[in-house]
Amino acid sequence: MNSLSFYQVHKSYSEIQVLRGLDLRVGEGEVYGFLGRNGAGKSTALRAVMGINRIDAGRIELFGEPVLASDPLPRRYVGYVAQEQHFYDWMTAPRAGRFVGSFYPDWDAQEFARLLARLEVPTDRRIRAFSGGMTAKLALALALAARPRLLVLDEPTAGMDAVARREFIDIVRAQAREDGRTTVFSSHLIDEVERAASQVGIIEAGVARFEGSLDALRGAVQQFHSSRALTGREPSAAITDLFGAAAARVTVLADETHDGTRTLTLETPPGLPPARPVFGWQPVALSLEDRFVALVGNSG
Amino acid sequence: MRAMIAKDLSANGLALGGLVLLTTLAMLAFIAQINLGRSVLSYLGTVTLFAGAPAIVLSLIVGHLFVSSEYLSHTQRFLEALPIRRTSILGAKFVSGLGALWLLGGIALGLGAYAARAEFLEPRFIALMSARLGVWLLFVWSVVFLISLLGRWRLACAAVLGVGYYLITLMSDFEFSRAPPQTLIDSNLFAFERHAWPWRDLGITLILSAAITALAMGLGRLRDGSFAEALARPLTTRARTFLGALVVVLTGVLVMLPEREDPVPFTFTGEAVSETTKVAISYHHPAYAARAEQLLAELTPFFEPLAKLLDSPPGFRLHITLNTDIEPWQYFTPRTDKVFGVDAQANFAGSEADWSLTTFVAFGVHQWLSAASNFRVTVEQRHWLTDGFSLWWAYHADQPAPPLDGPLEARLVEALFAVGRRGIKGDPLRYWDSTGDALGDDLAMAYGYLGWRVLQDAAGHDALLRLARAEFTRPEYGDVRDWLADQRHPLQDRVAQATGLEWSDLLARFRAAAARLRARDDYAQALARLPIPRSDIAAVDDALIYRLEFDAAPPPDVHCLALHDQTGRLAMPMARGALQEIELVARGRTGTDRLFEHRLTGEYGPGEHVYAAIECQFPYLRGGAQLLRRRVLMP
Repeated sequence: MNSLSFYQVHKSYSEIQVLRGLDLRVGEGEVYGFLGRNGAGKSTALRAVMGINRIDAGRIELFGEPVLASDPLPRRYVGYVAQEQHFYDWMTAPRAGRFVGSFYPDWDAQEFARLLARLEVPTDRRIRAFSGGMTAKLALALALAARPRLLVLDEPTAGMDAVARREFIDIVRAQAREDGRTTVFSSHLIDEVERAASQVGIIEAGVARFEGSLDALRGAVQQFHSSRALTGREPSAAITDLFGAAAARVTVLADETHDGTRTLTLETPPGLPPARPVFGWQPVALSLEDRFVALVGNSG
Repeated sequence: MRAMIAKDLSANGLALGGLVLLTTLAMLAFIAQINLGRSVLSYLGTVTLFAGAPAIVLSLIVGHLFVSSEYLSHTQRFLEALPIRRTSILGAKFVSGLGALWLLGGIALGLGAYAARAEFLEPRFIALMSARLGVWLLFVWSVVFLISLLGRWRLACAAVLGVGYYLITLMSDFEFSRAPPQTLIDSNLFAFERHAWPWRDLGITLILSAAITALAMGLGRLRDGSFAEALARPLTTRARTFLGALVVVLTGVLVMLPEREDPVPFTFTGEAVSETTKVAISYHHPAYAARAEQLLAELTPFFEPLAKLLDSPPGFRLHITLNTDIEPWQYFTPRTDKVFGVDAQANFAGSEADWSLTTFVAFGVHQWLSAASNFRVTVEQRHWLTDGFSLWWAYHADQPAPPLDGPLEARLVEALFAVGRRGIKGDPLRYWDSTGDALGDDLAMAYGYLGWRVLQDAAGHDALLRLARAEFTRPEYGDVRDWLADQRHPLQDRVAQATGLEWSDLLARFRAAAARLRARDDYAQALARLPIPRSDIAAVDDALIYRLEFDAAPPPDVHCLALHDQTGRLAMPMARGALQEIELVARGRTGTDRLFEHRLTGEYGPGEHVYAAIECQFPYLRGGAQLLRRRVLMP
């Protein structure tokens, strides 16, 4: 059973369509990186999971049960860390814990105290004196102490410096590993996803652009560059050279020529045989970020 | 929900504590002012005062603390991520804000009632006041709750509502003060209505509050709460420009509004005028000229010396208009500012038997003093002086009265009768609103009259005139300067300065004189001749039942009336002249009946409020003696 599923989810704000039929599946126990450019609809999708936003059409399921904005009960089993933290700044961390804990049936006060200590969140200061990173850690502790079956993190590291970001992601990964908890986190930073996630979903302009493992993502986008002598050929001819009979299943993401060197970026579906060595075409080593940019770079 | 309420109270505990302290100190200050004799309010009047502008300001502060600040600081997003319905979030805010406001109202009512504990406070009366105040505060809070969800537009919205209220009051005949919810805190009803539950007003107010609260809930949930959130964002330049234009337009509208013209009710064919007397009498047919001249001559001995005593300004006059559509014992002053002085209507051309010069003069003097003082002489602490002096002048003008211990006087029998009904405990002269409500207009005047007689006996006639001149010629401005003047020179000090009598001494002499006279054989016999019956008024099914039971058959000169009128939400006390009459005990009748009952059926429908009273005319009594008055809700 999937922990979280989106089925043809649509959502618009006035005239702006943000989600246009989003389909995603998050399996139980997965650490799922939810990637997309700014404005792609990541936060809208995750807020809909929490029932904060009502969807216009489609269906969202949590643990096989449909999510209704009017029914907050399923949210008791979801921990949520929002993109921006808006805590009551007059509270201390323990006071925030007591307040939040009263809404969750499985709230674990001891675990919360342990998490505060582990995350080095001060317990004697009011939240207004916290740094951005400290506030995000408090939000994570609050989310985890509710013993959720699903942890949803909406760009939790936005605004953090590199060190704090890495530390935060490491904690998330460790927690997910320790508890075997399904974790969904959205980000537009590829290295975060690469560091923590086992599965990836890429959203582009409100629809799922890619969904699969990191390895599948690595295999989904390939790039080749050619020598000067081949620059005049059609891309289809080059793809046929590379993939033979499977060339029809390949999509050209980009065909660019710079300084006389031609570069072909191709989307290759799962199960495609490896590219054949072809004289004049050299495979290019791509990072995950290169692949992400290749997939969504033309949107928006 | 409980956690939400606890959080709201905890977050705003300090501010709420400040409001509690502020309310407590303000109420204690009001009460202290009354105790020191420096305020014209009654103890329970302070609660009515609290329910007005202070309660609205407090609710705006509470609305900011409990609702607006949540949206302005965006912490509502934090709440929305919790497993709780948005309706529950809004509901918790509504409940905690209302609780805070009720707490402040409870403090005000508690302190006011405690201070007024000597004023016949029954549990039913306290319950009535609590219901009125509680439901009123609920209404105020529902409006403020809605406004508080408008974020940065809330003050503009409040200003538009305030200006709209003002414009409707100014430009239409609709009077908010006579319609619910405002009738719940009507100053004439709040601290005096002790019997009738204002079910209709309470019901309408509750329905209005529920509708406004539902609207607020809808607003808070509109577009998944993003609408209220958007309203809390900082204003754009365009929005600021719009608000600036709105302020200019509203100011312009207020400045340019024409004054409402009052229609002229009659055209007159003739007028009898005396400039020295400062009385003018208008009539609409030449046939009334002689009667008008006669009345002018009858009024001269009263109003000429009054004008001299009070040094009335040139042009100030008592303008009497003949109105043959009303009964001879009915007088009233139309609401107009077209006359400098008093504009009174009366039917002086009616039956002579029903026309009482003394009563009309007392009415005229009362109106004269009121108009000359911007009605400041009718504030509670000064009202007994005005009532008593009006009747004094109608009896004696500028001449001294005989000593109290002289031969029996019918007018003193009336005063002693009033004393017997009201009692002399506490300070009945100072708490005149409850005295007046208990006795009715005529007997209250008689009660106050005895006060002036005591003053004359103690300090002399010159001192009495000195007090009248000092009290009724004080500069009155109708604004805060009057209040400041009262603070500097409280009434008790002014009485002491003019007469040399300390207030406590005056009260002691008043009680002693009343007790002494009532103990005198002649007065005791005269009072005993007043066959006071047991009386009752009840509403059963569609009938209003009046019941009078005398110990023995009453003498023929006893005449009793059952009075009634629909009160709706009209302020109390009802004007005597506005009441319809039914003869309950006929004048000059013979027979041995001692039980009189009248069933008034088919006049009022279910749910209607009726003001009902029984009034009897006894020997020695100048006017009708109000035996019982009730505000009845028809079943």
